[in-house]
Amino acid sequence: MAIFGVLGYQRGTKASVFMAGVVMFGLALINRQADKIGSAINGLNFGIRFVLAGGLQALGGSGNKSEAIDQVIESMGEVTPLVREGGAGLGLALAFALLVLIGLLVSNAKWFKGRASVPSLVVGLANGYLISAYLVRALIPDGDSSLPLPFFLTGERVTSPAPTVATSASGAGLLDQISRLVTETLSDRTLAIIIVVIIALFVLLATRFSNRPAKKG
Amino acid sequence: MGPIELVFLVMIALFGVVGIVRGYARELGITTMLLIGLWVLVFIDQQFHVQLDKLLVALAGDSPVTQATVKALIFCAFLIGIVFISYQGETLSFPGKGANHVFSLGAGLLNGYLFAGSLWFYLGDANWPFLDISQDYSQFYDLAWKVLPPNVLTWPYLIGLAVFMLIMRVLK
Repeated sequence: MAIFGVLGYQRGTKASVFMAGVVMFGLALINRQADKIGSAINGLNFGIRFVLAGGLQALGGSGNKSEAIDQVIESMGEVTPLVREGGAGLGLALAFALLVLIGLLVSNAKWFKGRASVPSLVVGLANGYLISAYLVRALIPDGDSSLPLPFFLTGERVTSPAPTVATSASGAGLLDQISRLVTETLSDRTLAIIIVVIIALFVLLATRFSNRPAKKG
Repeated sequence: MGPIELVFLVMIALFGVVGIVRGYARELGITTMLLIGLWVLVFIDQQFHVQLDKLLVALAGDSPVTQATVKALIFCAFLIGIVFISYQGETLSFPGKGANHVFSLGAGLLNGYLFAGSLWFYLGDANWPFLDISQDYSQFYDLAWKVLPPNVLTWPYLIGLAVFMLIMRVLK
């Protein structure tokens, strides 16, 4: 998050908003078309392995082609799919990382260059959050990720809160609500991340945005 | 006797006032030192707890209460030493063209949170040695306890923040 925040700040609002578009497009596409992208990646992986194992020679050679192809496929052994069912595995994460890399390279173009600003920093941080949240989910599919992604990017439905919570929250004071948010809703890791981000953001703003004359003594 | 959290809230507020007087550029240097000091304590507590327990047995005997008290006193003394040296000695100043009061107040409060919050945690963890504090804590106490630095920030976060601070210090 900090890296993307700094990049966003350095490159300006136009580049940050462009990156946000790339990230959101990538996430929405991957989460809605995971099966199609997955089969394309697996096919590409198989094709590369086939060529490396001598598949082109088998196709272009004389004699019984189907037998030669069968031999090549046999010599390849079992090809583990990069994207498993449901979109799990390294493949989609790599595809997303590639998309982000392309987005970063494109956003470095002259046309996107702008002045450093606070909005670009905030958009950059949001980009960093979305990217890291997705990569954590993709690389540790069975893990209990505490970095939620917006539901419109994941296609997941928002579960309605338990009636008991809703009832008790209705008449509760601000302290009650904050207390419930901190102790029941947020995990320790999320809380730590929030505090770390607040501190890092504060330090970044203090060291980069304060421009009054220095105090003597 | 009033609630114990008031003492620490007043301490944090005092750090905020000190921050305004000194300026954020110098306060952030103390933040860095506090983060490093806190990392040392949390790292030892989490990664070397077996050796730490042995040391506490050697120092305080078999009583768990005395061990907890000695641990709290050592950890608090370490933090107080770090803060004293940071304020008294050569200050690690941060870049910045000035002393914006809002940022200075924020940096002071941040130091207060790290310092007073850590003392709060270690003393509370040892069940408030030498003090007659009632166990019936307020809702605010329970909420604040959840976000005290040693409670919520594990050592990777602390060292990550310290490194980030040092990067911000050297970046022009």
